Amino acid sequence: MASVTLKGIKKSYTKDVTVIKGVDLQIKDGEFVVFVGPSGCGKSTLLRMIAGLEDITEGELMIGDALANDVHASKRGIAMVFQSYALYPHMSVYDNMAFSLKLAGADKAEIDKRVQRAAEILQITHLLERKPKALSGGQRQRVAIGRAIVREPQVFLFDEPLSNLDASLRLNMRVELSKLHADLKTTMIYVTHDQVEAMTLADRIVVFNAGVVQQVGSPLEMYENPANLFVAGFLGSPKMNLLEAQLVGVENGLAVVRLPKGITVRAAVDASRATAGSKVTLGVRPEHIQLATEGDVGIPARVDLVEHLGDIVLAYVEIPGVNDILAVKLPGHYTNLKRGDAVRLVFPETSALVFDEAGLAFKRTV
Amino acid sequence: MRFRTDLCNIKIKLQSSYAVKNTRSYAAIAYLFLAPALILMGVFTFWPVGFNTYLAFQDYSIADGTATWNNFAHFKYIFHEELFWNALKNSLLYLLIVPVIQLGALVLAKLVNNKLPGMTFFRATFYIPVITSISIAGVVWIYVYKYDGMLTWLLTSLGLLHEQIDWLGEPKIALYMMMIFTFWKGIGYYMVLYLAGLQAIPSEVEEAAVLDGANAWQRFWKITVPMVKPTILLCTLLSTIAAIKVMQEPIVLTKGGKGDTYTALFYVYDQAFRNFNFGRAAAAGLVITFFCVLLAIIQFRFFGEKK
Amino acid sequence: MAMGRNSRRIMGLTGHYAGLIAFAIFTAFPLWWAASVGLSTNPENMYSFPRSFWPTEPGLLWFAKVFTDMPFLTYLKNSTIMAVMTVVGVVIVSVLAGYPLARLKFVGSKTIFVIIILTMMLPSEVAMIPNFITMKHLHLINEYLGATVINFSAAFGIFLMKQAFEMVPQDLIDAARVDGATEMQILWRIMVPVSAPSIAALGIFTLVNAWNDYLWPSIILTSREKLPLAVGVFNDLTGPFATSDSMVMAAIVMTVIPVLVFFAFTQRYFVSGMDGAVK
Repeated sequence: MASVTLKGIKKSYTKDVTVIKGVDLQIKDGEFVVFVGPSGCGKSTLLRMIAGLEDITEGELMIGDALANDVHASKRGIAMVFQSYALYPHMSVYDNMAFSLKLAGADKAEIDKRVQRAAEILQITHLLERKPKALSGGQRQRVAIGRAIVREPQVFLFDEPLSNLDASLRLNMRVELSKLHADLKTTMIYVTHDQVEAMTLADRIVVFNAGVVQQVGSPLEMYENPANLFVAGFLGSPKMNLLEAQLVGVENGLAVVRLPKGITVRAAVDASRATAGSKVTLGVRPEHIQLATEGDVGIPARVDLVEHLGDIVLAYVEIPGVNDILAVKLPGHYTNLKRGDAVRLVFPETSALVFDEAGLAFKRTV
Repeated sequence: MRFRTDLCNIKIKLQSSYAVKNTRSYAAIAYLFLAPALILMGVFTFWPVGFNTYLAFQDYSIADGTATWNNFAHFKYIFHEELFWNALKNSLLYLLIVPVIQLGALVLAKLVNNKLPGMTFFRATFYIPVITSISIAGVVWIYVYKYDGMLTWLLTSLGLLHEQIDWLGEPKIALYMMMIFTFWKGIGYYMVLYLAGLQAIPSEVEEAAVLDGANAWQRFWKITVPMVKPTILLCTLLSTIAAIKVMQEPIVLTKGGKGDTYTALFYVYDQAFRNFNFGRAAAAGLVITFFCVLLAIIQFRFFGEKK
Repeated sequence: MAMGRNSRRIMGLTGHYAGLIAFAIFTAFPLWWAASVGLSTNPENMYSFPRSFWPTEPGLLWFAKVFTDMPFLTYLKNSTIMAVMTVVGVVIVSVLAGYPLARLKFVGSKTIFVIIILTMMLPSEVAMIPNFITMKHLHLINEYLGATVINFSAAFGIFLMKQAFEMVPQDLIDAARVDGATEMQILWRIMVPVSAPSIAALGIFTLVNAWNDYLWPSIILTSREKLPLAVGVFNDLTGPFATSDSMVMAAIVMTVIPVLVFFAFTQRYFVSGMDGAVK
């Protein structure tokens, strides 16, 4: 088992095309880290650089205590699970799992012991003689993981391993991967574009965009305190409502912002570094917006569309004068809400976020 | 300041050599893997081109291996020889076969590209000429073209012909008779390539065209032809090269006749292995190589634009 | 309505098969005729058409004579040895060359590929004279290797393997690299098995070509004991050893039949393995 350290890692294909623009990251021994970001953000490239499948243009990669930049992929102590599983189609499941050990010249008994053990962990012992063609998607996925396990690597690398599975299978495998990590306690680096996978699997999430790390942190920390607009918009479903606004000033430690038509909202953030009158963005998660009951003050709005999902109700509402449609997540008992209803919205000041002109979040004060 | 920039330069250089390190080690492996192919090509393809160029300017005797410079004598000779020009003209005429054989092969591929019974039989039957050695096929076709042979019989019994014709002996038609033989021999080869191309077309496309009301004729021209365009380009290229390089047909069918069925390469063969004038053969070969390369460049341009 | 559709379909099918049959006659008649002549123990009708398309006094006399009066088995042995040599040579050279061109990034890969493809345009027949001289120096005149080695490095084979290797998913190669395979191991243990259909197609294609190669073997092989079928049978009809026409027709049929049967059984592979070349 080993830690992974990235220092100033860059990747350029030509002088002008840089896909990774300097990444510094410390991954602790035994940690489960998820790289997440939209497609093309460089997360897969970075993973392949850690694996040794792509050259590192600049910077240092340490696996354990050793510099790994020039070490061949097979000597880095890593194992990788590919999105397409990359099972060797002409080999049986057993041979697929044994291939790396055979190449390394391990003796037959040792190979057999390790393959059998991995097969037991993944419950695929009965499939060992089959060819990949005769397996279902989920079974192939297990074999791909099994192939990684037999190598007893110091670091597991996963490149979108679940994205070829259907929804229910994906859920199962997610749970199993969590269990596997709990059992093996090996360092795991996992790339996905699916934020649910990121939130559920990770000890720490690394959010990427355009070759730059946006934020690193535990799932809840990221969700509660996104560092910038990108992270705020990326995590959460439906995504955080982001409204253009203007900073009025700071009042009793609360930031006061004004939406169009003179609607003002207060947020418990420290906006003292921004000047009054500057452009800001107000962010409120759909589940934090409340409907005002009788007597409460609230922002008048009109319901545009209602989706009843059983456990919850999603309402899309429009505030007159504000261009964006707001998503509001309400408890399942709001069954009589319908299109065209007039409602009044409350943005609780402790859960509202404000981002400055450059898109960086102001620190929460509570 | 100056010093700093130098340092920066060094750093950049170090980094870039660092970056291509992996790539460079792949280059060694790549050339190692390519070595057998390149060495063999060098010895048996490129060296002959060079040696031919040398021979073309020499009087060469194969018996003792001596060569003497002869001041373009071979070139002067062939430029004044009608037989050589005739051979060159025949080779260019042979290009007429390209569109015919391509269209025929595509139609044929279309006819056998289905799951109707008997298709394996037909595919194999159409491939018989391809898998028959040209020497052996030629022996049989000589009997087709003899004055009392199969072709005369067929046309006479159909009432189209009232005399016996020595098909390969008539200077005006002998070359076209040879082309029919080439067509017979080669169509199956291109059929297989087109078959491979057709099988790469998803059947949904054709089904959608049927639903849109296209008839078989329209489907062939509007769906099949555009979708196998890459194959058509490849096959046209291959068949153009083959046509310009025709030489075995005259060897097995006519031995050149009275000059009317000489092709450019047959002329080379004839000079080398029947006249034993290797220098003159090399000179002619050089002229033909020049034509081939010219044709290749034109086709590559054409290919390049299409792709 | 249903009747109308059915009869249209039947008419279409009839036309379809009529076209196929007509063309089958065109491609098959020479072999049919050779077979008919070979099967006629009485050669008097050999050149009277259409009578000769049906055997006169059928029997296997000439086929039996092929083995006694002609060194047919020697020719067959020579053809087999040379065809197998060529297939092995071509497959090894093409696989080795196709892999770096398809999957490795290195300086000059594009140039090398274009040069290799350009050799298709060069009239290789012109090279026969220098090659003959080279073979003389290498003492390969009248040797199997001399007759086959010039075909080992073929642009078409390299092209076909390059296309086939390009279709192998990158993940498979990466997985093998992570598993610790060297490039040589990736090539022989992953790429080659995965590209088996294309290699089979190349093998079949090469085998057929080698089996039928006529010109170069006829130049380089000087003794009758080394001749392959394509040269030997042709010489025996037209050359100084000319024997009975009927017997040669029987020999021709026996030369073509093995290849034909081979192709009929392998054509499925052949077609599916070629698709890399045409995309």
